[in-house]
Amino acid sequence: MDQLHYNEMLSNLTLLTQTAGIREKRFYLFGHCNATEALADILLDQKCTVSGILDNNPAKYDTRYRGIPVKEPETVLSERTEDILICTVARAYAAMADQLKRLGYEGGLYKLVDYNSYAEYSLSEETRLRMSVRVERGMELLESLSGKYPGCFRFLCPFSALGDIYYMMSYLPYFMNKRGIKKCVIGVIGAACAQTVGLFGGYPVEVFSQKDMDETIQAALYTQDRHTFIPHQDRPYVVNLHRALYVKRIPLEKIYCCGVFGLPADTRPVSPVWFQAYPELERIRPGKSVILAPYAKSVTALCPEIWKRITEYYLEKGYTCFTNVACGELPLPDTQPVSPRIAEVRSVVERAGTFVGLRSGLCDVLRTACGKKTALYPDYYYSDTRWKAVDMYRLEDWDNIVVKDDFTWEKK
Amino acid sequence: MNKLNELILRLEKNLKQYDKILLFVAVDKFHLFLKHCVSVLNGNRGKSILVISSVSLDKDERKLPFAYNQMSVQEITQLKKLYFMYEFSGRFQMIDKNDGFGDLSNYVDTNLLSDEELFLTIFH
Repeated sequence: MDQLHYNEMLSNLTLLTQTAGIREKRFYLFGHCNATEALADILLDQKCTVSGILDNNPAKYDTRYRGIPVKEPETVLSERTEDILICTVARAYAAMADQLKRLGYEGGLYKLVDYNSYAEYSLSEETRLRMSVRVERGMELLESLSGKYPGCFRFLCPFSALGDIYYMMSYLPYFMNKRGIKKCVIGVIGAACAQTVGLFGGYPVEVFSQKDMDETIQAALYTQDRHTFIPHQDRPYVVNLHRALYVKRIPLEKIYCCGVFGLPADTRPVSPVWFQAYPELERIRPGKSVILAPYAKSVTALCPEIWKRITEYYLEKGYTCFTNVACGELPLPDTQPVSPRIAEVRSVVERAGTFVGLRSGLCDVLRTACGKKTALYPDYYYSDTRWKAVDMYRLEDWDNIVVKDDFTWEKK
Repeated sequence: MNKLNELILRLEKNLKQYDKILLFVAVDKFHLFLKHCVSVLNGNRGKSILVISSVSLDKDERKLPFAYNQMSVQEITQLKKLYFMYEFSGRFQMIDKNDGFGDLSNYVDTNLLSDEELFLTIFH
């Protein structure tokens, strides 16, 4: 969960818990994801009672987070609505509210983060009017983009995730060739995604806010714009490629290659080439340093004890330990901070010689870097499927390690 | 009441009544679906499904394991426009050919899914 959404969650939760009697209720959280775990942490720290995490994935029902059991949504039907409060920080708020209503639950569902501007489960005239105004705003944005990049085909990436952008760019040239697209502009959210695009060459990139991106995409859908393509596997709502995972395991890379772009499964991904050297490389002892990457926006964090053990292991071996940190993130204890740009991170890892990171989009950026590379996978299910993260994101030529409850770092 | 409002009222009613509504804009995919629907919908017992398309079903096909609503091409176009304006329900799905984003049928074209698996996926 990024800082902006975290702050939004915190602020909405503070407002909610200031309401009289709320703190005495027992909480249920709908949708088990890393954002839900962050919310559970706050509630437990505030001594609130969290009775369960509701989820539609039966594979999760025997699991717990900090002692909170994951349960089926029907659980709340045996509760008195005045005794409990159901909150969500998941993207599928509207679908969850609809599900609870159809189950016969008469209480509300509190949305603490607004992730999804596409959804409003109503067909009222007022909603339709508001949404048509939103489409008109999107049309203006689309027109302005078209004016800024005349003759360019538009790829609009709906979500700010490095891994998604990396996979997308790995297959984009083949898709452009297939469609006969000569010139394009790539729309992304945030500077890090723009930098990831930049690894693959000199594509023009336009950086959007999430709101503007949502509206532009909606307008492209509404107008059936033939000069725009949305290269993503599960966003926005019209894209249903992830549903195939209910019947078959398809690694994320193949979802992009075959599902998003319709390319043959044996298509070889294009490798990034536009890397740069980190200007402070002399800080890093060649071959005797390790870069640790414990932070990721949309992946459950590992417990600090694991990182402590990993750090101790490398210090004992005489390595200098660095933590890759972005704005506001703290280095792990006994490590030095290092903050290369996306294009520079490869040079840092190759000089250090060793990388150990939570499996995130950063690992994709480092996929082709030389050195000893280890990706750590929290033992969680991918979305509402029966596949684990490691089934979806495994990296070739890396050490792929699943971190279960009894995990200890014993690397030799 | 104009025709759009009538259509929306019907849609609202159907969303209350059915667990899932599937709008087939692409007629060829609807025919493919008819071929596989009995085996696919076996696993969906207990779920009420409404299928909409512009195709007229013959007598035998009316015994299929889902409710069916034939609509005019104009009505289907209006529903499609509404669907592309915003996500008004998570239980409404549209099956169409499109060039603007990746589609499940790409998996069939690239041999990752069979036709039957495609519909299993849609009805999961």
